[in-house]
Amino acid sequence: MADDWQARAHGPDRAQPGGGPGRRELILIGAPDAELRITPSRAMSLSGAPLGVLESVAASQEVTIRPLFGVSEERILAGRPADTVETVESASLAPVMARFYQVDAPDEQLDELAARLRDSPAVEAAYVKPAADLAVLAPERTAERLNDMMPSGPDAPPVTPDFTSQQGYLNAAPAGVDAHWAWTQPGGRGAGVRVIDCEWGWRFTHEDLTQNQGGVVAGTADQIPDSRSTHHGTAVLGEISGDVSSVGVTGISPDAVISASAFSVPTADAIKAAADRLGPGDILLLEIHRGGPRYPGGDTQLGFIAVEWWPDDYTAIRYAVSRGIVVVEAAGNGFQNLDDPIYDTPQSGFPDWWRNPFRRAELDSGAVVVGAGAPPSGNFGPDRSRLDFSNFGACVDAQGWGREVVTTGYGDLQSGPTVDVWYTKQFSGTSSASPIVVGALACVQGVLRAQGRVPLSPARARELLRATGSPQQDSSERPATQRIGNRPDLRQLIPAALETGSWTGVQFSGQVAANATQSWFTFQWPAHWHVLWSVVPTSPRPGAPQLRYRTRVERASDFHATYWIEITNLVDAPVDFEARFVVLGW
Amino acid sequence: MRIGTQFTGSLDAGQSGSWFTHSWPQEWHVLWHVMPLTPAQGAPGVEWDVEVERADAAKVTYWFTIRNLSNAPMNFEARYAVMN
Repeated sequence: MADDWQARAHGPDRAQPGGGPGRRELILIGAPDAELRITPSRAMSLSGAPLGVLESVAASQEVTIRPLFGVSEERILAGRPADTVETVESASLAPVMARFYQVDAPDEQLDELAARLRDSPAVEAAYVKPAADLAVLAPERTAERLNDMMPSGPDAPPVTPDFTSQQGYLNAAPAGVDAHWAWTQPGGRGAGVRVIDCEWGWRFTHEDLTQNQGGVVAGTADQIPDSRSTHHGTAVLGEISGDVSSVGVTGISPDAVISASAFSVPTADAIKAAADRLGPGDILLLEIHRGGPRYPGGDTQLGFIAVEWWPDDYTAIRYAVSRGIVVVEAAGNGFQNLDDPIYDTPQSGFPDWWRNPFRRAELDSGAVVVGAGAPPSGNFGPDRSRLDFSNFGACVDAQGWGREVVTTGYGDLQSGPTVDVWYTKQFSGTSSASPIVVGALACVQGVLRAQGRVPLSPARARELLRATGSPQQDSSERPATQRIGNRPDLRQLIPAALETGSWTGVQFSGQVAANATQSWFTFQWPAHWHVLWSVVPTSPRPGAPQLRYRTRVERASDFHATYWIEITNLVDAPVDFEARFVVLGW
Repeated sequence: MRIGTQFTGSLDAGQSGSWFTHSWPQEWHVLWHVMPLTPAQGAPGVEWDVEVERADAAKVTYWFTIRNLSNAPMNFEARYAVMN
């Protein structure tokens, strides 16, 4: 269908730059005590709470309200059926997620509808999210647009050349992530790891994407072969999963199985759908950003920020992280300082529990946030310096190449009769940076799996990305204090992930009164450590047991655990004891 | 020694649940513990008991009773350590 793409090459998708593939979304959150049940035509409260305006809005023919995270509130609360005997759906967020709804209505009515719905006593929050977009188009402050490449490359020869020598991001640090070294390690190509990319379109029929491709597993992909969305997703796939061959490119983690979840549905729904198909240690990539408080409107991505700032997307990411999935999220191309206090102020209609997740204090999504750094060519400033468009701030965990990424799609490196042989040498943005971090993490998880080790938890992945890698550099206009983090270096990252240890010790000692039961706690233990506890009396008293003990565990944060040791004295005299631990490893 | 996570699960507030995992070689010395996955600061979130069944001459089944001590739903993972 060569004519198909040629006819569309200058069609509406290119004629409306900035007119991204996303659309505005009205999100409603039910009040906790209302116990709402909403069908496409009716709303009711199981607790008998007054519905107010919600009743008439739900009955309106122009408006459809449906649960955001599943087909019904009951199914969300129950969780999906277990897919194995020993694995049960994550349910901790279910009561919260069951209160989220998507409100479908004509776009011009969304703002007024949100304001009306907030008057309902059964509604905790109602807000309109700006249209999301690919993290690709730079604001007007950038001289040239990102990822607006045309199929200007030479036509493909009968056999596509090997472009891997141009994939500098595969090379040794500091220029690249040293994928070449990772590939020498068992599992180092990402074997046994699953990755799902969330965005709008992909070309899974590309000649360089034939191995370990899972296709679109949720939602419906953009069907236009050469749309901005399709090229974008294809480029992301190539960076992570390009085939191992002498043709074209090779992905950073080509043995990982990569699939896609399409934002043809509300973004939070697509994220949850992806999470439901992954397990602990797998990786979920968010190739999306949207206009925040500083977005002026119109044809620009100035002010676009990471999507975790919105309560529903935050909740969906949190759902994935709570399942042990490493979520990698583009920081966005909005020129923004994510530490700016403006992000502490909720958008109109946000729920009371919302706090700025970029602070990572009261709310922390648990995602790995990725900024865009300059490649080593020097064409865009010193290597690893922040690119002008890249958002930055304390919450940005790591960086990847934000320019000059050679991968599949677009056609400026090689074009030809079908988009399935097109390649680019200019993929850019936090969009090109994030897959580099995903690929590196997939290599690490593959090595851990190959050695029978526990995969990195989301919190551990963040920690190691921050502790290793090639450091961010200053540029004349953008000092490294404008944080985008380090570029991953697999030659550091994999050994750091493989480090483990085992030791024993006495954490504390004390005395339990006669026939009493008392509890002690010890905190700030890394939660990924496997720790066992025992208690031994130090007051000799032969002839009968003196102490009984039980360990309880508190997950204080994504990263830390607190151990509570409850000790019962079984005798009629005080007993001194010591509480012993063994760290078994991680 | 090898460590790992055998299974994950979830429990509603205050709920107890039972799980088992079977066909563990009898000659393996295995210890178990449970780690919540859902942050909930300020109090213990989970406790557990382990019981053991000798399924046949070669295999062992481990049974778990896991209790959510908090007032909110909780995810957890059951971790093992093979000590020999």
